[in-house]
Amino acid sequence: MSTPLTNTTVAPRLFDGLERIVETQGLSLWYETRQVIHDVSLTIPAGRVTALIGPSGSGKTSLLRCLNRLSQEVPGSRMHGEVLLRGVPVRGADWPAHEVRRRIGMVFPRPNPFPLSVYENVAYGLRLLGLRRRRDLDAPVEEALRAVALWDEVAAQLDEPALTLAPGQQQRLAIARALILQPDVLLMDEPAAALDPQSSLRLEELLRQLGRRCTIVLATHNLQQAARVSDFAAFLNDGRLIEVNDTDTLFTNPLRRETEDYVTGRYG
Amino acid sequence: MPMSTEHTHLNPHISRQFSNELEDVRRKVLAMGGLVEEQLAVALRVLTDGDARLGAEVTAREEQINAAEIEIDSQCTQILARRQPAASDLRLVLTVMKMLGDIERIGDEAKRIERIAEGLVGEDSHGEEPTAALAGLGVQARDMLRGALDAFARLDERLALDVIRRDRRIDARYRDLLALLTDRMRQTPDAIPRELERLWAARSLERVGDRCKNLCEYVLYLVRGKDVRHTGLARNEDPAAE
Repeated sequence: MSTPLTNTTVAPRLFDGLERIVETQGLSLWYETRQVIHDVSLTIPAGRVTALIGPSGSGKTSLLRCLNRLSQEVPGSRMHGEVLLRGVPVRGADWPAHEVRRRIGMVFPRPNPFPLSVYENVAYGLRLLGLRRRRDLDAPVEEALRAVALWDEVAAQLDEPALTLAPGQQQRLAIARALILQPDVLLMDEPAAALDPQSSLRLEELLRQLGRRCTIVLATHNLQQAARVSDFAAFLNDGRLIEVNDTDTLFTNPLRRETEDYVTGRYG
Repeated sequence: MPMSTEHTHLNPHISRQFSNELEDVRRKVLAMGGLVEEQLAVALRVLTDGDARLGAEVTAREEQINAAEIEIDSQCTQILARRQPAASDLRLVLTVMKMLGDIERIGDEAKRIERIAEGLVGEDSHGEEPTAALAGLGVQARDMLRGALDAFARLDERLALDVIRRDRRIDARYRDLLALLTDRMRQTPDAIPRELERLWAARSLERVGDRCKNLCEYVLYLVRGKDVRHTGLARNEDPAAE
């Protein structure tokens, strides 16, 4: 066992000069009596890609879902501690859940287009916000589709069902659907899980570009993907935050023995 | 130092095959180092004892060393491509790839010294001061090589630091020998060709010291995860304080 310092080790000065857009403070989560997140205090720096890595069941998805209050939708779930968005608790009175989810968007492992046209899928969020007229929607829809490098591929089939797109395109569509609401943070839960290697690489390329204009938190069990895409990486094991570091260091010279075991594929 | 003690006792890989591949590379580097040690030992024996019968052996061993370099290098490339190693595994592969070049060149220097020594056989230089000084330089270089290989085998930070510090001593001894040889050339111009040969041999031994220092800097990178080259850091660290 490595030295039990605290339940997390963060390299000093790691986030110097960066805005701490999301922070969790002593976050714990239970599903019924089972605790799945243990006292996690994690900083997400703005305008960077942060990867959450860890084995299956380590709490990556649960932690992501705490950030935009999706976890509270699970019956029997209970959360302790705080999640702060720009210093304000997301569970506080200032943030209704739909507003939190507009600012902190989410992309799921499997592409989940609505049974609507390509266009309506992207416009969906804005329609919910009350924008009705197509001429108000055209420009943001195009911009969102361009941001995910999908415009050139689908411009001629905007009115066709989104379900006719290839899986890689569907996943980029899901990202466009989140981006159109101009979120501060985009949560991505294994976004390449259902994609072939080529589509995965295109998605990774997209994540790198998006990471410059919005904050991305990427939960992945694909270590190579985390290494390629992220600026910072946080290693979770058994619902506990083991180490946060810049990605270069975490993959070449991690601070903690448990991290080393995990990234080198050893028995932990 | 957080890494050294922990990382020598890492858990086994989930893929036993991967563990075997890394262990195989490590073992082969040590075996290659052993060949180069022998090469240097033979060169020194020819230099000090004037036994020129060992030349053929040196040529054969050089081929083995070159073959080992290519084989290990190719294994490292395979590991990088197939396993995408991370953390200490990645550092091990990178360290080995860098070490290979220096170890191979130490072998080259040894061969050069052996050739020079062969040429000096029959020059009746036994008991002369430069021969003794060269032998002393040779012993230092050989000990540094042994130390560097041991430091790699045991991931021994203190030993690596110690070897790095010894490079200064070998440099100083080389300069003394250089002064001595220059002096002799001035006094006995007829002996200039012979003294020049000795100078090349001394230069080669000094280069062996430099390369051993490189090896130890790679070992420190492997153990610590930090590059200490060109920092002056390693040289100024006191191994006893570790």
